[in-house]
Amino acid sequence: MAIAYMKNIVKRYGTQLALDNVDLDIGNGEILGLLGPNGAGKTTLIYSLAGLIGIDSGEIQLFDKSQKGHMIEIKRQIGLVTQEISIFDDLTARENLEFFGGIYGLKGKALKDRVDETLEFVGLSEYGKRLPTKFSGGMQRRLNIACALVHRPKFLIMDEPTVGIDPQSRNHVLETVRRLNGQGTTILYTTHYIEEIQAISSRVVIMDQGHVIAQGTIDELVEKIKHEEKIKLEVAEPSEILLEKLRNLVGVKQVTQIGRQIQIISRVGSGNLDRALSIAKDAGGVRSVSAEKPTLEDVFLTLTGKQLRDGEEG
Amino acid sequence: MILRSSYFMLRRMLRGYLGVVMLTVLPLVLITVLGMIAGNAIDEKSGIPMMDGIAITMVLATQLFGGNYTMEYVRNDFLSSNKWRMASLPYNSHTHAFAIVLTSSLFTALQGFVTVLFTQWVYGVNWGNIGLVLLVIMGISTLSHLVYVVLVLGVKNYKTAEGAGTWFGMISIVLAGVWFPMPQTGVIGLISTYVSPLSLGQNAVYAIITGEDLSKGILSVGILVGASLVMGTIAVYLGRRKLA
Repeated sequence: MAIAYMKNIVKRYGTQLALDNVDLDIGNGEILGLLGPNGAGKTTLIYSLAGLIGIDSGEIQLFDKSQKGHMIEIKRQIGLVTQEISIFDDLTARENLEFFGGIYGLKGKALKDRVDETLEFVGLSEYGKRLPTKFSGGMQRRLNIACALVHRPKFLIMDEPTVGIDPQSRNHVLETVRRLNGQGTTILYTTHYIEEIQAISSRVVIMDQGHVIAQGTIDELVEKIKHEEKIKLEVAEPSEILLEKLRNLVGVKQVTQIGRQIQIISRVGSGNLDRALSIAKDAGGVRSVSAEKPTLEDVFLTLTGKQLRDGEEG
Repeated sequence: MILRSSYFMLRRMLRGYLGVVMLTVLPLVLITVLGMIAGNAIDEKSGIPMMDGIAITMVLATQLFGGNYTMEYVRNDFLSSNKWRMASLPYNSHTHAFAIVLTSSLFTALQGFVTVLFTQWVYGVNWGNIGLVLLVIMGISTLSHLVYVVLVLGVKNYKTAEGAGTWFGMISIVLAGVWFPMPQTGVIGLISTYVSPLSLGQNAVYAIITGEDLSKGILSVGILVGASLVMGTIAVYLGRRKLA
């Protein structure tokens, strides 16, 4: 059963089409990973789902209710973790939770108990009386998440919640997501980090330039490109001539260079592993070679023609 | 919900020590220093001790800049990245905005009132009917905060809005003749007496203290209230456009 669905959603900012006839279902109890590069439309999609921005056309329903006329009711059951930290710096961690909890109707002992539980859940029990200005970046992120959880939302939307934090805090966030899902919370999680999607998502939606490119479980998505293999070469002297020769091989779909490493997406059974190795040896030598089964990142590369993170050339 | 939001706003303001210094400590320091310079001199125009005149001017002038509180909190809660969190809540944004203006106005007025009490008890300044003086302070405070709300919602660039707020206070002070005497006749005299919120407040407080020029005092309060209503209407209109 879908907890939310979006049908034929169109959203423009001036002449720029941010969402182009997007259809999306979110199943009850799942963790849906929304993957895409910067500018793909992820934030626009989730903000329109949460009712924060209007859409130009289409239909959105949450909890079997249309957004029109039921937004306050819907918002009571949603929690939003924003990409940027959105807490009150001049209220303590506990006061922040008391404020937000009160907005959702919690009061008295119920509010106090829930604030205690939430602080413990995100690992900030000892810091309840401190101002967020005294927190590390990771702790602020955890408080940011806590403010979206205090009212026990049925549906939690997390917009790139691990941006700019250390690996330990990131792992803590991912663990929190798993625990919440274990308690029955449906989660929509947007990110441009493949490893996060792979770690927690039950289903993945890939977006680019306002379109949903593909959706399914990770295995289903990888199955789409099972006819491809990824060859990795670490060469002594990468050059444009070498890359051009590799691109010209029959059956090669994509050649990417990152430093000394060259990644080649090629058709399975094309024999390009041997050919690529030979070309690279002639061009200056090879330090290492490997052939791998496609990953989710390769799915993204195949379907969109680009790398997930900015600055990496395809 | 307004009371609840106001409670948390107050907690936030009480942690803003710079605001308390600027709106309470600084005026007290200025009153003390200028009062010592004035000594026991009497102001010929108003007939009251110069020390009293200084205290009245400082308390009322300070209210003109209290709107910075409102401006800062409106920006922080509605015009920064926090706005998405606020928009996701099952909570009318106008309720929160109203709580900001209400709490800021009362907090600023309260700081002014603390200065009034201090000057009365320590320096013997005669404020007349303290309750009426508090109402005048609240009137100026409310108008000031609404002016700042209009600026922060109506002006695109925050720094420009901030600057305009400061100019609002400065021009009011100049028009009230604090730095140099303003002509008391003609159009300029009229503007000086009945346009500057500081002048309006002074007219009302002097009327309370001396019992003279009551009609001038009552008219001044009426203009303050009317101006606040106008600013409030503009603020609501801008708020509906920008915060919806």
